Amino acid sequence: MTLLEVRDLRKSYGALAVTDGLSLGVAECELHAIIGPNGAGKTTLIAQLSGELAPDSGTVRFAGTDITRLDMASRVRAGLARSFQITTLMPAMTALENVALAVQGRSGSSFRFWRPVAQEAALNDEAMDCLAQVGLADRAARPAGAMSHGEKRQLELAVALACRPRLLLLDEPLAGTGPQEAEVLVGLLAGLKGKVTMVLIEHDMEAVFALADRVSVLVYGRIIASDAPQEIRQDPAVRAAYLGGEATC
Amino acid sequence: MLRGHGNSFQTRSVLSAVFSPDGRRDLTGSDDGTARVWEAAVATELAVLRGHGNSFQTRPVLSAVFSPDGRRVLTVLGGGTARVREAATGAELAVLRGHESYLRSAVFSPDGRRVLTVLGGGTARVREAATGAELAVLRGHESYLRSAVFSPDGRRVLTGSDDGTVIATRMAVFAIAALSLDLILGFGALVSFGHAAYLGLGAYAVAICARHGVTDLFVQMAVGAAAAAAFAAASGAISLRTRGIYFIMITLAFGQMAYFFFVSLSAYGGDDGTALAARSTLLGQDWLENDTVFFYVVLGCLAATYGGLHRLVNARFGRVLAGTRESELRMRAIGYRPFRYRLAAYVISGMLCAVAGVLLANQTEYVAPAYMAWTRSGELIVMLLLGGIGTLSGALAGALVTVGLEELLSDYSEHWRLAFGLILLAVVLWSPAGLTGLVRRLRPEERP
Ligand SMILES: Nc1ncnc2c1ncn2[C@@H]1O[C@H](COP(=O)(O)OP(=O)(O)OP(=O)(O)O)[C@@H](O)[C@H]1O
Ligand SMILES: [Mg+2]
Repeated sequence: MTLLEVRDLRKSYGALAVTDGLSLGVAECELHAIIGPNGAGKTTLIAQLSGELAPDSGTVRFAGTDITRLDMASRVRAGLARSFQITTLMPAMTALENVALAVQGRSGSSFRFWRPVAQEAALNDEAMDCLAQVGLADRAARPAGAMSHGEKRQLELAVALACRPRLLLLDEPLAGTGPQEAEVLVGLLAGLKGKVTMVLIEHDMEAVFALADRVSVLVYGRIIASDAPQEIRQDPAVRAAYLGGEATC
Repeated sequence: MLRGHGNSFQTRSVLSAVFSPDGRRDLTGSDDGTARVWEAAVATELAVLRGHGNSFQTRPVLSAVFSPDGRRVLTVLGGGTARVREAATGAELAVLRGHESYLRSAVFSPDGRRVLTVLGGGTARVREAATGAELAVLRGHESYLRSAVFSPDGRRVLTGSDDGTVIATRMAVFAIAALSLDLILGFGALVSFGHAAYLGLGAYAVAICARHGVTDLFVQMAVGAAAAAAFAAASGAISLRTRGIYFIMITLAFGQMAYFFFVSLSAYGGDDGTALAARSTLLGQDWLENDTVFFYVVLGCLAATYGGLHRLVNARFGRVLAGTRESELRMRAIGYRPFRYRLAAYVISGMLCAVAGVLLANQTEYVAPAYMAWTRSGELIVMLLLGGIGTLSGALAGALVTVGLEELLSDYSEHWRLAFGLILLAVVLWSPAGLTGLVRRLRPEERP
């Protein structure tokens, strides 16, 4: 079953067509990687899928309903969560608070003015579970701003998971990480495979070909190929447009 | 009627007016820098006493009195000097200089040989009227001296000063206002430059309710808070769609709108405002007329505000508000719509500030558009800067220290704002997190 279906999506900044008639289908439970050179329009695509940006035209259907006009909050409620290429957390809040805030977002009203939120066991327990899931259980009390870069990337993942998504949009989760940090994150993503549908944007080819069920190649705002990883590796058009001479890496 | 102070463009205020001892002449002092002697019965100008100030700046004549024999006049300028002049000709007989602070008032002794001056600080002086020589300095007033008079026999002096209760009440009132601003500015990162409008809405709620026979403090608070909520909801719905400098400008514009609305309200004194006939009542009783009782009521309101806000910022709502301050995009990405939380905070903040306004009107027993001037909004922001933005204790400390310094520094010089500015600059440069940040830094063992 197709969970996410994008049809003829278009977005231009002036004369620059950043998303240029893009169509894409993501099947339930698959890990769908999107690769492409810098400036291909990957982040812009995620922004339109998550509702941060409105497309100029085209439709986005999620679980059978048209969500093109919904705002971010409604899409999160519908089961679409995202992580950011540039770490976007609450630096002054602890790791636990960052995640608990996401849990709070889908559990009851936030117009509560009296009871201390720090003592809401239901929120904290669930947030702790998410932190444990990404291996940050022992970092719960750390302010996000004081964490290492790799830990912040893990926390981004935990916050997204706390939204209990059906589809996780991951914009370069390995961005800026060292080899050891990347290894941890790839392990986490491998563990999530099959439990949640994922769209993974990533430059790290090793990670992409290790994780992906399917790979789409985005160049100049269009998908030029979409296939199983081993087919993509061999595709001459892809090699010419993107993998280029360094395809052996 | 005695006219003639000012020109055709601007009428100057008459700051003081007294009869001569024989009741046949009138003496007026004006902020155009002149005092005039009038014949009381027909309002003919007999003498203009000029020469107060220099050509660049006219100093207001704050008060002017006749000597007991009616032959001399004692004028006080909005500076540090008083002058004794001949009433008939205006000739200067003596200049009383050497006041280290600004003069509030000056009176003759019953025999006309001595002069009693009151300074903006805590001292009064007795001087010889003919020479200006200092005969005695009366110190030891723990606070603001307002006036001083001779006893009829001229041997004793009675001084009247603001006591500590009045100052503490002011501190508590402004602490409530600062706390309310801190909710949006500190916890929501919304720099409102029109917050004093809510102070004014509360104050006018008192005047307007009282005019219509509603004198109960809590009813007036409810009316003020409701007006503030309506104004905050309407203005917030527009201003909260903007960020940064635009938000500052729009809140400033709304604040000025409120200001000019009340300036145009001539039934309530327009620009000049209106004095309250009495303080508000509690359960139909005039208990608040007692300064001490009133102080404890204000203190109770402050405690309730502090406690309530403490709960709020640590509750679900507070965490969401802090989240919108930290990262709006992240909040939206986890399913929140920041606007509605900001608007709610904006309304709550306005309502609390209106409560402070109700109390302020009661403290001063006077209501004027000046309460909602943009400079007052700036002062509230300064309180937060000084105390430390984004912590409740910072707002509290900022208000206490600002009001305290105002009282203290204005005792020493009319240019106290300059000194206050330097202190503020020093604190902000040395400790960007304000005084509370400084305290935290000096006690590092308490850091989590
Ligand atoms: N707000 C904007 N205004 C104008 N141009 C933009 C804007 N946002 C993105 N672009 C342009 O759109 C193009 C695609 O940007 P995008 O961030 O989607 O690329 P990307 O594929 O994510 O690249 P990278 O791999 O570097 O993250 C770039 O050329 C970028 O300069
Ligand atoms: Mg990108």
